[in-house]
Amino acid sequence: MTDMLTYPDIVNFAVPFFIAAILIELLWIAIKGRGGRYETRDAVTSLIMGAGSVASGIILGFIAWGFFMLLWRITPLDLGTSVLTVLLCFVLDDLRYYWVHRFGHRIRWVWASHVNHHSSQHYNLTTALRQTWTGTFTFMMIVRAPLILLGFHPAMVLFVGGINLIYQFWIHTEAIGKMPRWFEAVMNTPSHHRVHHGRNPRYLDSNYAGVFIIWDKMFGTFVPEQEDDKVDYGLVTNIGTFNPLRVAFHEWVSVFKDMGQPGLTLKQRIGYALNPPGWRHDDPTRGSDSLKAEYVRRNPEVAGTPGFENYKP
Amino acid sequence: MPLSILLPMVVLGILGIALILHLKGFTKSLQFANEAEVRQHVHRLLPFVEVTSVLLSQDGKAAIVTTPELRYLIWSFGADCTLHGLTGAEIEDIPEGAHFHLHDFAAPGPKIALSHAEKRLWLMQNKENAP
Repeated sequence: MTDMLTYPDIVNFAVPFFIAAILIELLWIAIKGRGGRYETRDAVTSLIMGAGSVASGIILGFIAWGFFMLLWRITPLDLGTSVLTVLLCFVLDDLRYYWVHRFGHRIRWVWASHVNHHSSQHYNLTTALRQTWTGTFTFMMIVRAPLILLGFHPAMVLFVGGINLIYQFWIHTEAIGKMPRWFEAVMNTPSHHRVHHGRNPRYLDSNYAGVFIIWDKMFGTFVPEQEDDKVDYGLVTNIGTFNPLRVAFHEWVSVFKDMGQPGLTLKQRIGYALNPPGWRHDDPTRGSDSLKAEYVRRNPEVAGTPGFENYKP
Repeated sequence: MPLSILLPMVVLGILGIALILHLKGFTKSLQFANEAEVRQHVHRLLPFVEVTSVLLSQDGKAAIVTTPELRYLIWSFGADCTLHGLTGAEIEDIPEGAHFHLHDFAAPGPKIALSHAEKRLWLMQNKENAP
């Protein structure tokens, strides 16, 4: 069995590239007068969130690694380290990413970690680095378990996961409109990911892809960017702080506050953690679905259009 | 990459980007030009709500917005704005204006600059926000 296997920590090696790309995007926007917006405090908050995310990975990474190596010792399978194996691992890990990301928007416990990334009202390359500090506590490492049990070495799984994250850096920009049609059909792109970051009712809970947009098309969560519905970035209820500590932990505070309300049943308390964001024990239908339904009720002409396919006026 | 290289690179990178953004004027705060602009932003942030009145600060950086159900504070948040309900909020009289305590970990509440003449009207909202 392949025991000692190492790959370079490519996310850390990509840091100089991230800094250079941000400066290039800034220069482009300053010269062209279009292609996105920057704001100093927002950008600094995003960058601090990124640095904190790397620090969190360094400090807490042993937890996930220990879990993965335990699984590696259990599994009798070993697919080796060929190029084909790495490619297969990459594709399957991207499928894993899609589902973890979908859970991240539909299970409040996981949303509490992921919400940070969506909390900027801007969409530029610094937004790409606005990452969670608390990912370990979502227990989403469990979703990687099948990959390791199938025989992909943990080091390989983490390596391809790193490539996945680096790919997603460049799609966080308004400076690129649409890629060629064949590319847009298969890959995640700036256009597809702008939709994902939109708080417009049409765009909520869509385009969860990491690298390949095909998963959204396969699982019915794809919404193309609409010319007549410009993306408004941020959260349904935007935050009002640039403080990275508040940004990192605000939704966790809110989850525990809601769970701790007096007079709730155990089922209701758990509901505040496991139901979609927006759910309330006294208004169980509240959330992105009800927002979409209300939008269609008030704008019946959009019923059946992208993002509102399942909604009738 | 060793921490001895990564750490200084990250720190200097963040400081450098912050400095460039500030020097290029990207620290400028949003100012609402008029009541109509406030209404536009409220409609964007709360598309299902009807605004009945707007009390805009003289410096254009904050407004109290009244709807049939609730009262909200909308304020300049960097180059953007953000909005929060005022139910349960406390408004503290401070020398430069008013400090809104929103009791929300995600939005602790801004200090709004108000002229002496504006203060009375704005602080009156306090009595009307008690739960």
